[in-house]
Amino acid sequence: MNTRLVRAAGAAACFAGAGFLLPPDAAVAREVAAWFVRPVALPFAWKDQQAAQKRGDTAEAFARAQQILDLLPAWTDGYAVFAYRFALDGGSLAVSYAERASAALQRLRIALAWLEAGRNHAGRREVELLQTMAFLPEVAVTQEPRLAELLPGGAVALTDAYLAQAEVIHPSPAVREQYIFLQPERAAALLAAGDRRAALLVLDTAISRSAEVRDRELATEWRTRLDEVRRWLRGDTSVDLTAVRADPRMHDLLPHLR
Amino acid sequence: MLLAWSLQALSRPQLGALAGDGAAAAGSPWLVLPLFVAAIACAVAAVRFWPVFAARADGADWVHRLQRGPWRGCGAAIAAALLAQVVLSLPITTLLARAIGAPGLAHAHVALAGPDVPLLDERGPRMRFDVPPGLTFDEVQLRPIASLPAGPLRTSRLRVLADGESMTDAEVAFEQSQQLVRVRCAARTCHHLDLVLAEGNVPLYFAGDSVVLIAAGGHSTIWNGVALAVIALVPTFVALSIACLCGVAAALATVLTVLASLLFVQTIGEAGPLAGAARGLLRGEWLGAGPHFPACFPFLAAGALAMILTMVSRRNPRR
Repeated sequence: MNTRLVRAAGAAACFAGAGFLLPPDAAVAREVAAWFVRPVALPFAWKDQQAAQKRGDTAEAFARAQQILDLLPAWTDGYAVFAYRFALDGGSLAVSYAERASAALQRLRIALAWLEAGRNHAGRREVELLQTMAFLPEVAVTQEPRLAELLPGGAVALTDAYLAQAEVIHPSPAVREQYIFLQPERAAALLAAGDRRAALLVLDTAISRSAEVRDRELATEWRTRLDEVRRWLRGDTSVDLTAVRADPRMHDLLPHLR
Repeated sequence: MLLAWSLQALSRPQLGALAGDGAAAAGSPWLVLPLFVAAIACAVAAVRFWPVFAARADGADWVHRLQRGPWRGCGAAIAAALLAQVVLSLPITTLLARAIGAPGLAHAHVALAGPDVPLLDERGPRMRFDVPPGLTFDEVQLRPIASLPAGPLRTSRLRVLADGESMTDAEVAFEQSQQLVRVRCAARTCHHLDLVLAEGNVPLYFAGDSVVLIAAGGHSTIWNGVALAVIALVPTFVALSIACLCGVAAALATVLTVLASLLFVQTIGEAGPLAGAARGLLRGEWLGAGPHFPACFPFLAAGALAMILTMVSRRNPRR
């Protein structure tokens, strides 16, 4: 009996010492719990998200997307697609022409706040996430032009701010041009999610921003490729896609151009 | 409930509430999970308590000899389990549902039946829906299926007319399938609702429940919670009935496995009416008027059939 008591006391002392030397971290405990919850919850969460797209409204679909991303916090592409879909959805509530811009601003702010939260988990892909954030205000303004009046300094100011943050993390002049070339990937992700409208908005914005590429020949070629894709997606099947199919930067889009 | 709360804390949409009212429906797993726990606790307790539920269980012979009736008391045991579940479920479907974010008032959703070919396009740019008489509504929800346009895409914009009068100056535009547009208006009644294609070339197909009117008068979510607690009994009844049928030949372990599997599939697996009803409750949909109770009937029929088969297959013991 005494031996058992001594062993139990020793074990308790070891636990207490371990707790003192390495205090338990709530984030670590949460991550360990997530290891168990993730495989159980994800299939249902994903199914619910798709059901919300079909049967629920914008807010529900976005909230369900947050549940998925809470389980997969490092999935930056997921953050980007769901944030773009929410910001560009147009909202399920029909509003008058005068109210559309303020509704778009509200959605843009929420989407950017969510992407900002995603930066904590983005790791090496934080620059890409910042480039995603930089592009979103411009796409939102393409969809709702009067939104620019509600953004202090316009969408360009927000874009510059996020790109400046990206340049701090990865000091290179390429950061400012690279985000224009990322957009086919973003459009492909939106098409894969079934959101053709948002994908077309992304392509429209990328075409207008392609003028910022300093190499004029490259800018013209890039704009032509994007325009071919856009026309095809808008239903113009007479477009010759040979050059698009040969361009490796467009590979993500090819499954959606059949 | 503690498990549900801890899981919810682990995965709670933080910006959902900012996004709009409908975000509460994303909390449906945290409503279904405690209901599943309550259901399985009551069902397992019933099966373990009443020996006739499983073949060769201790005391089953005595019950067979003493308890007459077609189910040897299993029917009463199932009824007791369902009553116990109601008691456990009511706080979950009322108080917990409100805590998760269910709106205080639930509104009836009335789907309108369209014409025989409910296709709105440039060749048929007007469509009429008959509104049930006396229905006062303050919102119309449109969710058509969009087809591919002929030629370059131009967004289809609609006008919504109630008895020929425009309901809103808001833009009602569709580009892709399953896109939801909610048109709010002052509470009103009407005889006909017309959808008119103003411009665009995306053909829109308004089938099934693509056009839904939201009734203006609300019902307390407490009553909606009571309705959900009743619907939550259906999976338990079906699982216990089929477990009872299995128990004619199978031992306790098999019966419990069948019971747990059926309950899991019907609740967490969303094969039954419970998950849809839970989402409806959190969306503020009045369960008494929607398709949720009619959706229970096939399951109730399956449970009743299992009970009949149990009755037929039980042999009378020697006295």
